[in-house]
Amino acid sequence: MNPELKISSQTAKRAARAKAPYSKLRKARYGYYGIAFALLLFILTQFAASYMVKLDTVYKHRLNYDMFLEDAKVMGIVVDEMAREIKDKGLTNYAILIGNSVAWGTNESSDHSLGRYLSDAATADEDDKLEAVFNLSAPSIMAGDAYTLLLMLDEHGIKTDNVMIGLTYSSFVQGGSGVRKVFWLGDDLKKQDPAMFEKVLPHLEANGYKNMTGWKETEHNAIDAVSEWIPVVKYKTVIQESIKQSGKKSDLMGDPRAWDEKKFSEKWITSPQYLNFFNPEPFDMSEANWSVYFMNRIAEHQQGKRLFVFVAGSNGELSKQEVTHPGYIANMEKIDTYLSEFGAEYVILQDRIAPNLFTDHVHLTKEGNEQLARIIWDTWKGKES
Amino acid sequence: MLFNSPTFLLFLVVVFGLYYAFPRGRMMILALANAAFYAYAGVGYFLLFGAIVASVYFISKGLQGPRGKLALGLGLAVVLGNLLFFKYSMFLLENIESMLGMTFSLQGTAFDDRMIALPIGISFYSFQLIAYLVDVHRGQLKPSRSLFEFWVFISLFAHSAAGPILRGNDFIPQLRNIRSILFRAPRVKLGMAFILLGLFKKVVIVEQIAPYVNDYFAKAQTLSGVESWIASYLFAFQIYFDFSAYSEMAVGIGFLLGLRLDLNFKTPYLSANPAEFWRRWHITLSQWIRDYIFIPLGGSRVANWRIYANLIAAMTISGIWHGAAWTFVIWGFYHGLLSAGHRMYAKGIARLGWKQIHNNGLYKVFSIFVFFHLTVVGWVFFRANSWSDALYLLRKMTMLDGIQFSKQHLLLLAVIAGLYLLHIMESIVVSRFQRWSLAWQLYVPSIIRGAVYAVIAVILLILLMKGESSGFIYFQF
Repeated sequence: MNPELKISSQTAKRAARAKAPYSKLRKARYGYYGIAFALLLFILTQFAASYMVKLDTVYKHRLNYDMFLEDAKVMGIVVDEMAREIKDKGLTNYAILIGNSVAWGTNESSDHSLGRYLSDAATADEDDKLEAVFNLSAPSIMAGDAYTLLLMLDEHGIKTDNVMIGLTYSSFVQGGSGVRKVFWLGDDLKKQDPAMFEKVLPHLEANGYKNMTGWKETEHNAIDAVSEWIPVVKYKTVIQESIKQSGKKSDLMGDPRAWDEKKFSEKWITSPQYLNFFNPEPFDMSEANWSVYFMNRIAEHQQGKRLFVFVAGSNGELSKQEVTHPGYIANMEKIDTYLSEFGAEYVILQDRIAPNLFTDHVHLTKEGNEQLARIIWDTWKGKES
Repeated sequence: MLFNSPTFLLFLVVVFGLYYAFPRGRMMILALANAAFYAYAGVGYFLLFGAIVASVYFISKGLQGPRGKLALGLGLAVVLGNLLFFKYSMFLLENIESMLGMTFSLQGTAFDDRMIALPIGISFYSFQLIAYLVDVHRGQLKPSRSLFEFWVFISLFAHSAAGPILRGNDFIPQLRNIRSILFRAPRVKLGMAFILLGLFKKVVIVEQIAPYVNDYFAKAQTLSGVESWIASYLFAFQIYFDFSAYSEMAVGIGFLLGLRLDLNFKTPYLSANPAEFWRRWHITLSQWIRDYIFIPLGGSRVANWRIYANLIAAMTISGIWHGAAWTFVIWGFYHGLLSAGHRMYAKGIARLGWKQIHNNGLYKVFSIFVFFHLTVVGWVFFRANSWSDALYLLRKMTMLDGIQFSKQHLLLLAVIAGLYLLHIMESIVVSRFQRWSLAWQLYVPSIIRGAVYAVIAVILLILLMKGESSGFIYFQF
């Protein structure tokens, strides 16, 4: 071979070898493979998030309060997942329980909560069995929240043929308490029933609700709408709280011991929050009281469907001074009269549960919750009046 | 519009898309985007900003004419008048009242609550306008060709809220070539990397530190010596990560659009002296102070005592620029003293023939340690809610009242050590960025890179959408 040709061929090979890393470098710098894979994995993550969040991620005999506390929109997720479960299991005969911290089961774990015992009783009963009881209660839920929840259930196609509403004396305590009567779900009420929202807005704003309007509202709604389409965003609170809670052995919130096994400081039983719970000022049972107003709307909503109301009692020992106050007694009678004209089945539970089954002034121990479930279920079935 | 809000990210995507889809309309797209960005904060302030920019533009037409000085004076009066009114009028009024021992009644006026809301970015755009006026008057910069161009230069959304402070000579030529900017993948990737770095600093680091800092400074007068140090250390990192996060996002946005914006930070807590610190902290402000205050005052070409006085004056003005409160004035003055003190010290070292000491590694580490702590002491003035809080914290920081650690203190000190380590790592990564980024793209399989990007995107998205985005500290200046 011509030596010159040989040299030129070697040079060409060297040049090709030298060129190869450059083309690799150029490909790396200008290529989009990394970003394309990122996009693909990001989309797959959305499917995974959507698949992994189920009803039991956000609900176990009651909603996961830590998640709800972090973001009230979790209630919407619970309702979504409930609708999915009802559809998947083909449930047709179920009840919805909506109440405050007593019905949720403060100071006890979900396994010892009212939701669990009521569900057990209702699904085990041979005569008049229900397929499930869904407990949408949460601490501080007010009549306005309960009404909003019923509208949310309607929107999701969840039947409200059997509804149980759990109240306490404090549910009817009025103005000046600083507690708004749509405590959690103001934004949802705005979407579900704008006219009613407008009507109640002055009361809500007077009690700390921040109503977004104009551009801010449009922006907020747009972000919400976009979030619905991105599961990792939609479930962000659920994902974060699930990770946080994964190491926890129990979902107990509070101290489950009976009230007489622990100390209640003078400061606690004279605190404004405690005293306001038993506020003896005469109740106005007209629609000027927002609790009454919303209860009436609930009654209208439930026309032709079954509605049951229970008013949980207070601890007759720890809060003896408060529950024996003439104002308290008179107000309880007003509640009784109101409910008797309300057009729904109801039960008032003051002094029906022994004081030693309370964990504090109003919440119940495991045994207390069992007894409350029994009373509710028996009354529901007509065994007890 | 906060850079760490979903709305801004959506806004950026739209601007980015339109910018490359319509190269001929880029100036118009940016002009409208800037207007929308500013109007989002308040239409009234947008109109005010627009009026100031327009006034300065028209005044600047006369800067190179026979009445240049008059035009300069008028331009400065408009810019400084606006700044003085919004930022300093109430501060001045309160001090006059305090001196006279009386209170003027503002009832029935628009200021009866004694508050004037500060337009976003007023300090930044004012300094930028001053630089423009002075540069054009000096003949160092050709005036803008049109109001349109001038508006885009001053109000570019990437920097209008909190800098970097752009100079006409650097930026206007870029705008004139804007149509020819091509979409280049490496530059866009770099821009995205800067934006992600900024977002990471803001949502992962700052958002976690901020509650502790706020809590500590809110109850400043109850803190122990150890807690006072912890509060000051944490604030030092909060303000650094917060401001550098914003600045890096601004630079990243610039890269996305093919525009070069200056970096404002170069790991400043690794500085061994004040001069180095101001070359690494809020660089564009330091350069502005040097060019438009320190040098006009005589700079380093005057007698020694005047240099010291100039340093102190320049830094005190920098303090006043940050905010209308005596704590900012003292912070600036303190840094002026540090700068003058260091200059004196350096001269002493040189006179003794010990210059070699600067090459000693141990001395360097010791200097960084000392200067970092002097900086942290300075932050007390900057962050304290009042003068008395600042004095209380400083007294406690002498540790004369004893030293007591709780478990939480040790944990927070460990966090602070971790943050400093992160700062060192940042410096290492930045110095080797080009090599490492190439290695990352060349040797790491694209599926792994993609997985890392996806994880980062998911985490940032979750944190970004967590609740209401918190503002950047420097937005208040």
